[in-house]
Amino acid sequence: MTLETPADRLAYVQAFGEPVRCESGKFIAIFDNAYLGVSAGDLDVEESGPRLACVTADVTRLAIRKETVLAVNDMDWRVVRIEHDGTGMSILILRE
Amino acid sequence: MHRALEIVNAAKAAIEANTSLGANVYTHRVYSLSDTEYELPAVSVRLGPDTALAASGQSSLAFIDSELELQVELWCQAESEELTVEALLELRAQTHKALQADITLGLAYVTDTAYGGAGAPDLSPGGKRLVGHLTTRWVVRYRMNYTDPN
Repeated sequence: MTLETPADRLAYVQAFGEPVRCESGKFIAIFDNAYLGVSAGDLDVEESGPRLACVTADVTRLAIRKETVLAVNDMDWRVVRIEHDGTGMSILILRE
Repeated sequence: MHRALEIVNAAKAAIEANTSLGANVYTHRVYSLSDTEYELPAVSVRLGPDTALAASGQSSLAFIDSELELQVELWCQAESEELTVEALLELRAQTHKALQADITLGLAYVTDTAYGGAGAPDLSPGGKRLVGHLTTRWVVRYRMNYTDPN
């Protein structure tokens, strides 16, 4: 799906997202925490990969960076990595 | 049962007997490990190479002495790099103590269990917590009848 304008992107996260809080403010993002097999030695450790999809403008506006603490559904997460897709959306990779 | 397998099982029992370990102990583990299933931290004892001491593969007409390498694999999870390495090294220390408490592993045909080194800690990000893995090696010298290794 192509999200052509900032309004499209905002509508997308508002339709599927949930409120996220950080020290500098609030924004809406789509939270995902799907199964992830982490390879360790020659077997996998069963894990989940928490992440948020949001509009890049919110990342900039709220000065979100590595180690920023984000509250989603009363659970705190730390940002490990920020992946901008270059079209106005960003994925925030999280950890406990 | 082949003596090599008895040695693996004896090593598992020795590690499990260390009440300071705080980890699940398995043998030959290849299936995935889950923190939510309380499988971590985890230790797995695996068969490594088995090397006859004499080049001909036997030490006398009556017996063969051999050195079996045990690969003791360690896994843990923690919130940071420092905590993960610390947890791995604590597992390494506790398994070391366990395997050196009785160098015969309680088996009459084992004459020595010696430290054989360890790999570098391997930390894997990606999930909600870091996963750490470390391999340690132990060399168990044992004797078997040259016609029957059981």
